[in-house]
Amino acid sequence: MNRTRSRLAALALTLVVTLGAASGLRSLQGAPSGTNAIATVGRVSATGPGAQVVHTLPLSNTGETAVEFDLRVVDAGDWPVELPDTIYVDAGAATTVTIAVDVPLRAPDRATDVTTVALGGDGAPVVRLVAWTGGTFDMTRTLGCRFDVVPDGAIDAGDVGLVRDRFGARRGDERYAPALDFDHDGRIGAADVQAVAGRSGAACASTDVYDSAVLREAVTATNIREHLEGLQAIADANGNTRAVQTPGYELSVDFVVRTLAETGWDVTTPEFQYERRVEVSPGFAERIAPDPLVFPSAEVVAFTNSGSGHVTATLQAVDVVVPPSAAPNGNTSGCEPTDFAGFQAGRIALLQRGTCPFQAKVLNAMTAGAVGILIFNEGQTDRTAAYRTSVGPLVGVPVIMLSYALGQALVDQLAGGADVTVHMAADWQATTITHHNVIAEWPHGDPDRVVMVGAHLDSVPAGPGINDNGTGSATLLELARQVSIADVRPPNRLRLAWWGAEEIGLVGSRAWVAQQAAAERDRIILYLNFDMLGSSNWIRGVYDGNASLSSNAAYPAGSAQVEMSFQDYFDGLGLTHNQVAIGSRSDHAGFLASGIPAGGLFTGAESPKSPAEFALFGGTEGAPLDACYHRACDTIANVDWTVIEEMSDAVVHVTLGYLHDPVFGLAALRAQPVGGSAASVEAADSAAGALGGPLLVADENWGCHGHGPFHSHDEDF
Amino acid sequence: MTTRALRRPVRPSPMALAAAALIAAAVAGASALAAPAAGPEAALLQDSEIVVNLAIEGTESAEGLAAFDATVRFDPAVVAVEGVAPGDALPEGSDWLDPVPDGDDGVFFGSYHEGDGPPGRDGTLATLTFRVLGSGAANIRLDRSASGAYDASGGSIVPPARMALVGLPVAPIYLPVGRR
Repeated sequence: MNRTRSRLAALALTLVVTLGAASGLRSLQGAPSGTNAIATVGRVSATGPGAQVVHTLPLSNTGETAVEFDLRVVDAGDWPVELPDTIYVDAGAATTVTIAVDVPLRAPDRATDVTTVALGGDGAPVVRLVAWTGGTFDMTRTLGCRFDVVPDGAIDAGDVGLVRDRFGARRGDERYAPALDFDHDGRIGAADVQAVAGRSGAACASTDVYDSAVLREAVTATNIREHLEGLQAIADANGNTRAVQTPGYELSVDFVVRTLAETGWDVTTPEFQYERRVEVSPGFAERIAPDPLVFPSAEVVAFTNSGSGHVTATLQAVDVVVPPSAAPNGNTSGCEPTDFAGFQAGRIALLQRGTCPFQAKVLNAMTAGAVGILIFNEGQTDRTAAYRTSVGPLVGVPVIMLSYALGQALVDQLAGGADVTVHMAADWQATTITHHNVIAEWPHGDPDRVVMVGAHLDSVPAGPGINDNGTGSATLLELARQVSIADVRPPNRLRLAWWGAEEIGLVGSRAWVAQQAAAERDRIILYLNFDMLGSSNWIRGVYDGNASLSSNAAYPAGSAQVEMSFQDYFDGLGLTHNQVAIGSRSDHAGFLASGIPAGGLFTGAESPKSPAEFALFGGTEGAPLDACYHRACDTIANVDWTVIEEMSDAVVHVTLGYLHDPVFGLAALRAQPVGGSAASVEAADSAAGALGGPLLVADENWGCHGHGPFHSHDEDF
Repeated sequence: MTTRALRRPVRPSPMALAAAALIAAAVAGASALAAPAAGPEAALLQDSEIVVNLAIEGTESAEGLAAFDATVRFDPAVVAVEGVAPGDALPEGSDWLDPVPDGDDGVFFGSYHEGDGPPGRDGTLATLTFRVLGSGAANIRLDRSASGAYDASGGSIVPPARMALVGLPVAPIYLPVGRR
């Protein structure tokens, strides 16, 4: 058996690995003292004897000069550690360090932190040491389920027999299985047989009674912060964003995948695509007759998702109010189909901003036969200029916004009895964008009873998205890590999802749901969504699964029970909480539409803290729940560590609860609808069928999505 | 490849025992591995047997020998494996892992131990018997990169360097003219 390692640590009892730079660290450019800083590392941990863990730690050089340093193991006990050779990092650049750790089979049968890993100097002037000191997890339960290879809760002759039957099998042979190669040498040998035989008679954790205490204690804000440091480093090195269509998003995907490497999770990165429309040439509008006039380009802006092409037709105003009312939204131009009662098909509709979403106006105009649509701003102070916004999903006719001044002039002409002919044009080109979600499945438990937990991984372009939604993503990562360390063997199956393109219209999650066959969706007994868990002026918001906040909403049966599960948990600890409208503004929407019960937590976005919320949670009344929401300042400094500790514990508790629930599920609950009705489930099923194929159209209104399910849609009307 | 459990060591053939006796005499000394490789100095005839032992030392200072495995390589044009039998260093009640081929030129074998009991000790882990097929150098050798000794948890207890084959033929194997 190959026991040789290129960098085998010296034998010692203390389990500490330090990537020391005392001898190798140097500035390539001879930077003056203190001008370089290497930051961001993390803790290396493993899951007991026979574990093989590969950690990839993000590393960014925040200094002004490039640095190069060698890594060395100072002390790793007898745990073999493989390190890369020299690391070179340009000034301002980011890279990753991969550290592979094999836990010997002789290690104690418990989950153990291998080490604290620190990259950087030991006081060397050019690189600052940043380190975390990790503790040791003493798990009270019996581990060792990795040796229960015929999973029945006990390590016995059956397990020994299975391994010895594979004796001699090598990597590449049909009989070889990585899960049986406990010493990771590429062959099933006597060490592997002995690893099981030596534990024969022991029980593993598969029969553990559900108790979230151990995992709640393990999933700490400190650990979550380490993942957030990684996401922050990615943003730092990529223009302060992790938005889709930027390198920061794909690096975030890579970060999740690498963090989960060798932890026992089955990780996939399914693709999704969406269509992004790019404006090839600016919107254009001119009056052909009477009095030909090319409208100033600054007062003409094509809507995002406008149709493309040139249209020349007679203009007809629809229910406009000029001069405008004193207050905004003083007209209902185009909001009702009846507004178009006298409209002649084949004309260009002249509409006015106000009262209802642009999308409603446009759809009504198209239904009435408009071949082009001009919408002018309403006319009050700050509501005069033409600006770029979206009509929602792609439409088939050119739609252009005009300034109020242009709109007023056209309305005046029409009011004077003139036949006004307008030529307008919009030119958008569709581009198909491909990105990836990350799906991780814990390969234990009933695959027909899946508890799915998700968080969106992308940020908006304007910022690094650490609270929105690094906090949800990092909480799931830490949950995954601790489930692996504890080797949890629940009756139901846990599947985690890190969604992409949530911020441009829930694209990744909707695509994934649409890609699943009906039978696969039926296996998901519920979906939990966590979008913003560390808001600075926080609330403890629980998704309103019983629809008590919405008179006209009903959610799939079971959503109410999920809400109650979170409420019961907080009540048990004496922690206040409130309901937040579940809506459809985060990744749970696709699941609800498919009839899958859903719930989640939310600590707040841009909304000001209400008096009621202030009474419940304290903080600052009237101030935004997250003042950095969708802004550049949504950095790691924007996270409240107290609330994320509380919320992550709730995530762990409720997730584990449903993982151990033998009854919960849509099939059982359809007979006893709560919140939603059976009819609503059927309607949702129907809606799911309408989700369409894998190609979705992104909403170009960056920022309209992703602030949770809880606010009315700011349709910008 | 089937496996079987042998609760007690298999008795080698008389010829193997004779050869082993020669080997034992040759390797007797302070270290089971210190003695030079020794064996028949005369040419061996086709169909004759070669017996070598796989020995281990250093177990007293380790966690306790519970299991081992080893890969022994050879020139398949010159010799073939007749059998591999457990040695006296293994713990009482060890379960034998039947040899399996390792490519065209190797054999992989070992043992493990389930349950309590005193660990193994320094001495012979296994006795290998080869049959001579043709002329040339047998080149029998231990592949230390694919060999090891383990404690009850499956952890490695001594470096593979503390394992060695003893009783190897000193000279190449020659076949008398006209014999074939």
